[in-house]
Amino acid sequence: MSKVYKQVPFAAIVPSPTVANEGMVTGNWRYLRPVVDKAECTQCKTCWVFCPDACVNMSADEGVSFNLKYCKGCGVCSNVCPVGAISRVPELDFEE
Amino acid sequence: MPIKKRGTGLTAVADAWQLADIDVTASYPIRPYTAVMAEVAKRIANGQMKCEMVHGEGEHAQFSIAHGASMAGARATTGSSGVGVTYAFEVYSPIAGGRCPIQALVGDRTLDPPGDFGSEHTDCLTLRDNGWIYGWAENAQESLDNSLMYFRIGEDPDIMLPQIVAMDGYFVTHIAQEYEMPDQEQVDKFLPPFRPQFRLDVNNPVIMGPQIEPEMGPPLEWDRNVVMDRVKAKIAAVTEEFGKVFGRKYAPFVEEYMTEDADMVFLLQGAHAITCRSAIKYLREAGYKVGMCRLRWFRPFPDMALKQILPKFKVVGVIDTNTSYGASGGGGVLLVETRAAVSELANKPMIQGFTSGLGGETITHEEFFKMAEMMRETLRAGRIIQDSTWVNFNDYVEGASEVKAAQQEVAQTKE
Amino acid sequence: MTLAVAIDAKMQEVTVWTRGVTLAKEARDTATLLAKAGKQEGKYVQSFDNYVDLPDRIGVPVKSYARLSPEPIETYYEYENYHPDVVVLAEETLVKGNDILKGAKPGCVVVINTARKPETLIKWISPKAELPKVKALACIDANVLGAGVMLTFDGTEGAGDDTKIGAGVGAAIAGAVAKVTGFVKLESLVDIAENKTAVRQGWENVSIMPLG
Repeated sequence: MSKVYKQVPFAAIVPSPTVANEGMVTGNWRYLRPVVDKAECTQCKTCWVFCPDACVNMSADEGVSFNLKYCKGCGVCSNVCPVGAISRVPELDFEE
Repeated sequence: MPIKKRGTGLTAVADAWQLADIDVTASYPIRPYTAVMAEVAKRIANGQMKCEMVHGEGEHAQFSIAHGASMAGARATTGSSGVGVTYAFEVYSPIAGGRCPIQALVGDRTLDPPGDFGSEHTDCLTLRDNGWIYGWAENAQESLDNSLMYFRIGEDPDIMLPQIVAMDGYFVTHIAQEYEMPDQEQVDKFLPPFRPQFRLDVNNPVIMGPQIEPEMGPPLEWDRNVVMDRVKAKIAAVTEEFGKVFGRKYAPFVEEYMTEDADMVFLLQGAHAITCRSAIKYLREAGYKVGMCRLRWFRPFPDMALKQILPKFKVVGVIDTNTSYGASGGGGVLLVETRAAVSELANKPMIQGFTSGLGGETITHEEFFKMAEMMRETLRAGRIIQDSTWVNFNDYVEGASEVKAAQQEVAQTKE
Repeated sequence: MTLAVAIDAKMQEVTVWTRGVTLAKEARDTATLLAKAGKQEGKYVQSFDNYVDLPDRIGVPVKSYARLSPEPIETYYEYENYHPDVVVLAEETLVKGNDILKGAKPGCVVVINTARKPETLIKWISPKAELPKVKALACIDANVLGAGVMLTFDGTEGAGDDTKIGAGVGAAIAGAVAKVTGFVKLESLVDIAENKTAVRQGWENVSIMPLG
């Protein structure tokens, strides 16, 4: 079998990812998943400010949610939450 | 007693530096060089080594620190990889021209693009015209031995030149292997303390590296040229003596493997020689009369040795693990140098180039088989079919067709 | 043209998956112990860390490798184990979202450091198409054996490792791998590991679920 190389565009110039980088999916770095208790959450956005990977989403209807495709499970959100609404749960406790 | 150890090319060189009792080392991290500075720092902290470690703010500073230390009479070392080597480019010629015999360790790394960690000899080969002496080690043991030999040769009062202990990044620098750390007594016998004739000394002031008159330039450069010739004799003598003191015998310039009855040989340097020997074993079983010549030195280039060795063969396949875009023959640096070495010989062999192992790729057994087949085609045709072949890209034998599609895909340019 | 030769045909390859920084030393110890034990038994061996992973990022999936062969290893300068006989996960969550069976040999064994039941983990093993190649799934709860985890950067990036080899959970995992695969003897591991109790406990407490 001969080596099969990947295609390279001219001068390795590629389109820049604008929302998510499919070449660097970091969700599998995580072994503890952040889970928000919606009843406790005051929607103060502290977690949204602190998340180093911009993985906290805020919406008027849903409140806080996490982008689990990229969340590395670092736990900063849980640590900074002023009301203790974010817990960290073992990843294997979830089917998906 | 020498100690049997398990370690990498980097720990082996750290061992050599410890045995050589270096005075100063200048550091700046870059993969794969990094571990040697970690190793030396650890040994200083543990009290195993007494040495001043100065951390530069970049490679340019790093080599300048070693330069200054050497001027002050210290046995100084440093090192780098890839773009770190080229970032320090300005200071290579002043160090060699100032005849400061510092030692650098270079674990090869591909230049950008694409920012690959893997080995490619281009980084170190770019400074081939600056008056440093260097060659490639194929394993940890040889890198340790080279380091000691290089100190001895470079610091010789007749020579006084900086040296580079070059080795393939990852393969030699990161893969642990068995090697022997020599005894301090052996090393003390082999390597005298560094006592340069001139040094920076407040009681006896000198100026090193002054702005000289233009008329003084060419004689200075003639001197640097002449010393390169002297190095060759010194290499032969020191390699011989090394074998006597340490019991490990190296060919001074070119190691030959299975060349007695060979029609064709691979000519290469560095880590890929390990796989090459294994591939030759299979090729021999399949009836290919093939051998290997491995260069132990690149500067000075072993042209006299090659003039004697290469006419024995009909085809020489020079394997370049480097790029020199636009070079004569379309291959790399080794092809150009090898052809030039024997160009005036009447009975010179046919010399073709292969570019392989770029970006730190391993040169696989199968790729060696493919190169052997192409060399046999050359042998049968009695002429060079293709000056330079980039393995997996423009191979000219049957069986290469399956990569043609991949190649065309790769070669796409902006449309 | 290619010669029909089988290179390193008898070589056994062990790939240990782990987490960058936090658990890297333990996985390297597992690989190192297996290689050293093999050497003690007269085999040709090799162990090394992956060079292309991003080992200085906390939590990133990284790999360490061990190779054992009755014959001299011919592909000595390689980047990874392309056809593992054994896949070890030093941390259970790695089973999710990583193609741990990529290139695995038929009859390969998966060993996971977990308190969970093997049957609950199968659903995550990927790629799915490779699952029939797995002969057995073994689980060892190394974390509760009390050996602990050692945090150090010593021994990374090609430097020497002056810290103890096999003092923590890596030793227990090596014991488990030895029992499941039979690649090395328990005595050889006990002989060289810093924490001999952990090796024995790993050997004794591993639960094996045959598959296929």
